[in-house]
Amino acid sequence: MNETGSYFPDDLERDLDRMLGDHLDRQARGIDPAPLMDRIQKTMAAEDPPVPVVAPKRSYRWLRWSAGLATAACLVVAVLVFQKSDQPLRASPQALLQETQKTFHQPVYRCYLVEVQRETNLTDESNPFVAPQRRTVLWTRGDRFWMETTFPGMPGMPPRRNFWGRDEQGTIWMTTFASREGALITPAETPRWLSVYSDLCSMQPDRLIAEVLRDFDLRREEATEGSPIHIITADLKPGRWHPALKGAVLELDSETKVLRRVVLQRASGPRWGGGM
Amino acid sequence: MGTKAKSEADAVDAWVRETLPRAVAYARSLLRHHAAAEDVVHDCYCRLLRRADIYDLPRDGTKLLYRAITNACINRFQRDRVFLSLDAPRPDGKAVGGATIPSRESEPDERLRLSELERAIEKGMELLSVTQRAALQLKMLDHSIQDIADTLGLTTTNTGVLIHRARQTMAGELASYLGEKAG
Repeated sequence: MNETGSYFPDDLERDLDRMLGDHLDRQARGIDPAPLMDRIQKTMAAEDPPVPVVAPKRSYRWLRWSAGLATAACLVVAVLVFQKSDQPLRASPQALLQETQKTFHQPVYRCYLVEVQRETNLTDESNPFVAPQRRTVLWTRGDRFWMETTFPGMPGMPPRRNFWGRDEQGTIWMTTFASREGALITPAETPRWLSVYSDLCSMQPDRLIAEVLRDFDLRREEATEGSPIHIITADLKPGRWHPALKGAVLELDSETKVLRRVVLQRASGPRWGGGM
Repeated sequence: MGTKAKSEADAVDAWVRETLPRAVAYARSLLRHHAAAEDVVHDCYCRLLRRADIYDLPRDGTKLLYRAITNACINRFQRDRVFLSLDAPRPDGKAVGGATIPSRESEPDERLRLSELERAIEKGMELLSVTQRAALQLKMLDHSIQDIADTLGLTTTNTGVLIHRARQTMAGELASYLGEKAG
């Protein structure tokens, strides 16, 4: 019987442990610690340094009792004041977004109107791909999407339209501007950058909301009485990292809690806005 | 900052730098998701660093760190069972984010063999529960059965059984690499 109390052969256990230990070492060697180290340092820098623990002095015990009683009295007064108020309780942004998440659990088609705005002056009017603005109609269902983008035309020419998408097998298809030719890219042929971009295009808002709830500080904007929408602003928490976003504004229908409009501020690159 | 305080801060900094890659690899092996593993490791380090005035991290921190990571990963794994990610492993088994196999083993056949072995190990790990993965990996990291039992909140006997079953599963998956001993 060996250390783990079993009859696993010792030499096999040794070989297996060495194999698994080497595997963990190889995984660790392939990890660059610098970005996470930097993130930890930024988080710690954003906080106050730890306060040393000091033993309380007996002579101040009455002061703590008084402070406790005063706090309790304030709480009682606060409860009485809020009970008298006619104002309804205001839901937190987290609670609102959790309600919104529930609306995405149905496999339905969704249509988005996406506007991209580049925050740069480096535009070239002769090239429609670097146009400061373009409009896209995006249909999604789960991982599938179908996208039509309209670029402003060359001077004296009509606007150009481009179509591409991803089917239920994960194959990416696209047409040329003339729409006479097309291309199919199977999942095995899809490069990483295109796969990531396609995942972004499939606009799975439930995933977006899960990430926003986890990694972002949420703030509910003041709205006029009877406003049909709730507006929630999300900013990346200090020390948190997100591969694509640094901020977002989400507009929810105040009655159904359905996501009506999203403005995504990407970590680098243009600002994306989408409305359903 | 005084000389003593600075040297203590440098020691903690060096401890983080030294332990970080292995901690991420460990969390990743439990969660099967690189970004989630980084989040967990980040939070665990920050929690420990906030108590740096109480703990001697270069001396005792590693054990505390792995205990915190294990619990956080198990909690997170159970909470987020359905986790979709751009960095999730692809259906063909290739990891798309995080660690890659270093090219130190430059011979093509050796690299191919290693690449196949990595895939087989990852496939075997998928078959284990998160608690089995934690117990097995902590054993690989030279934690004692008692420490692992304390971390997982189990008895030493149950921990031994957990590790034994995890090894059995892995031995079955890696039989062709372990030769006749596993047969």
